[in-house]
Amino acid sequence: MQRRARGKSSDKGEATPAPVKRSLLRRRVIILFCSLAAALTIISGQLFSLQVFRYSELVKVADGQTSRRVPSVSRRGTIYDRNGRELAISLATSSIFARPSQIENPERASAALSAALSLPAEKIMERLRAGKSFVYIKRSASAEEAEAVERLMLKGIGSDVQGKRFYPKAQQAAHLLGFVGQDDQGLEGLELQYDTYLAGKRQWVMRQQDAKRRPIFREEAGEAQGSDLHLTIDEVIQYITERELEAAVSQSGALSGSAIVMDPSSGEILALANYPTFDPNVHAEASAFARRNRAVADYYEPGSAFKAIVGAGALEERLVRPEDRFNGEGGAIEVGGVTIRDHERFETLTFAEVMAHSSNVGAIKVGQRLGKSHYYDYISGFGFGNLTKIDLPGETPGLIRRPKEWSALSLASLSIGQEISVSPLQMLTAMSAIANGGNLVRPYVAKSIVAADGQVVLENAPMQVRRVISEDTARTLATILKGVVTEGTGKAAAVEGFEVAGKTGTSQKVDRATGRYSRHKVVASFVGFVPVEQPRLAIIVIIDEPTTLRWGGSIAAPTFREIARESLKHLRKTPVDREPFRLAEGIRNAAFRLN
Amino acid sequence: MRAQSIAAWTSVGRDRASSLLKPRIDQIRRFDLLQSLVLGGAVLVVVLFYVWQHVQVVRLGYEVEYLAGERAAIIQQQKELRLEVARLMSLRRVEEIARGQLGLTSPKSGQVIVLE
Repeated sequence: MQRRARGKSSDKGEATPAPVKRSLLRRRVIILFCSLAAALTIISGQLFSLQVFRYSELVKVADGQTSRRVPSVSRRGTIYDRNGRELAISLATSSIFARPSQIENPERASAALSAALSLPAEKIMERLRAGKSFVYIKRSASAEEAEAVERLMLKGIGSDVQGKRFYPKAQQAAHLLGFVGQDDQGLEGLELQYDTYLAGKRQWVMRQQDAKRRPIFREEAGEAQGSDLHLTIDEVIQYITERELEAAVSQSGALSGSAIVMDPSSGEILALANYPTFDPNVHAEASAFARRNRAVADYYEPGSAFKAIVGAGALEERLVRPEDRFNGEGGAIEVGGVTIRDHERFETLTFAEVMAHSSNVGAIKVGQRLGKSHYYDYISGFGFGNLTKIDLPGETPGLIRRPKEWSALSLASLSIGQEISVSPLQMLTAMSAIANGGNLVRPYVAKSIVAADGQVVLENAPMQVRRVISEDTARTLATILKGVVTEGTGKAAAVEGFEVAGKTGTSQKVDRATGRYSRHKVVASFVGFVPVEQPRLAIIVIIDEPTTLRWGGSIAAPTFREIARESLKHLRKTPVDREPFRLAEGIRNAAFRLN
Repeated sequence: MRAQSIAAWTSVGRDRASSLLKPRIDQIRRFDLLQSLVLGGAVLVVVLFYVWQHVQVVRLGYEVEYLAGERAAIIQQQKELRLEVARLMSLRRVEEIARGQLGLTSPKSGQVIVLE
């Protein structure tokens, strides 16, 4: 009622006079202004404090909340064969890691991770309680699993993207390719040799993210991918070599075997195989013996195959001619108080027949004509006792003593390939020198390295180390070695439609228990090249400790033949007795397009 | 009296002058108001543009990240497929299928004709 009355009186204009009204309004305006000014002052002060005094601290907090340092995916380069077929590929995979000291509730974290990663929670707990500052919870996790972990937003848990190496052809070229470790670093073979080129550069980029950890911006990362490696290896020849070597080792009940195929003119390795072998995808499961690249890292006594070297020296020094005759001494000769026998009784043999039938007596006589000093020069000249400098790790230089350390028996022993140890690769490189006209070439496996942007980083070209023998000597020796295959111990190496030259070898192994040559343990080998005119392939086959077929001519030579025949077919080499089929232009174009 | 008449005259003059100036003052006031409105509008537009720009940048950032993720996934998928192709083209596998399932054999030397 009172209010009403007051209202009424107000309506009648009886209440407040105008000056009082103005004064009231002014007071209110002043109060409002002061309030606003006070609020503005407080806000400004606060702003000033935040922007000036606490600037650095708050910027750090903001950066920590909105920015994240993430690794850019670093992928190893791909390894290709000479025809661009992939032999090793890397894919990006995630690894989930933990920093246990930062985890507030390990039980809850392991339960959440268990659900996200399909791992037993107990196993995760075990890792978190291992007392380490950094542990991997799961390696090679899928992208979905990594995303699920990210969504959990657990403190102390993170994911890291890494490249994982895959070898799609499994065992193929395993000893050449080698393998990588857990952290994608090269551990063996080409992976180790060219690790600096193949490995991608690990880079970290800053990523801005929102409250839900969704990325908003990312700094442009530089190229993190490693360079691609292009090999001289031909995948098909590699496969043929591995297949035939495996068959030979199995057939002869041997301990192991090695085989190498090389282009004798350039030194390009077309195939390199060892058996037993391994799968580089699961290299940890293989024994050290299976993983060892025995064709390069191990040495053996070459035996009769080394007669080609003494023959080369004697021919080059013009101390023998192919038709020179040697007395076979009825199959035995005594040197330094030791009787050295032939595998059969020979009466008289020409120098060419000494080689063809692999006469020990004949070879010793040739060696004696050549003499210690010259022979040693040729042994060294052909690269024995030195590294071939192939681009593979773990190469052995072999074992050769200097002439002053030789015994009365040494010259004779060396003439038949004893008292010297060589690697299969050295023996093949020496035979390649005979095949290509007398030049020792450096063998190599990597043809080129191409960066991710297409730039050629490294290119290997054929390299002549030195001339060892003249072209004439090489040609004469090639003809003599052809006789080994046509009428000598290496008949099983003959390839229909092609001329083959080579030398068999069957060397006794030293028995470690007695320190003497074993009667049962031998190394059977064949080393040669094909075709004799314009050689395309130089091949060596070594069979270690065969139990059934124990001669180089009976197990290594047939393996050589199979590798050579199939490889020549693959290389489209026309047999000498057959004319290539010439297609009409249009059909030929269509046929090659289909290829 | 004289003073009064002068005052009256001055008052009349002032009123007269005031009535004459009023439209001009109103015009100026309107212009000022318009100017203020235009200026305020311009500031508002600039502020809105600035905010819109930021929103757009963030939106595009999300889009770029999404597309970058998709691109990475496609590259990864392509690599996986290449790996699978390489695995399937393994000569050991091909030979096993050729010999075991298809009953093929290696051609004899006379059965191979090199095309030139």
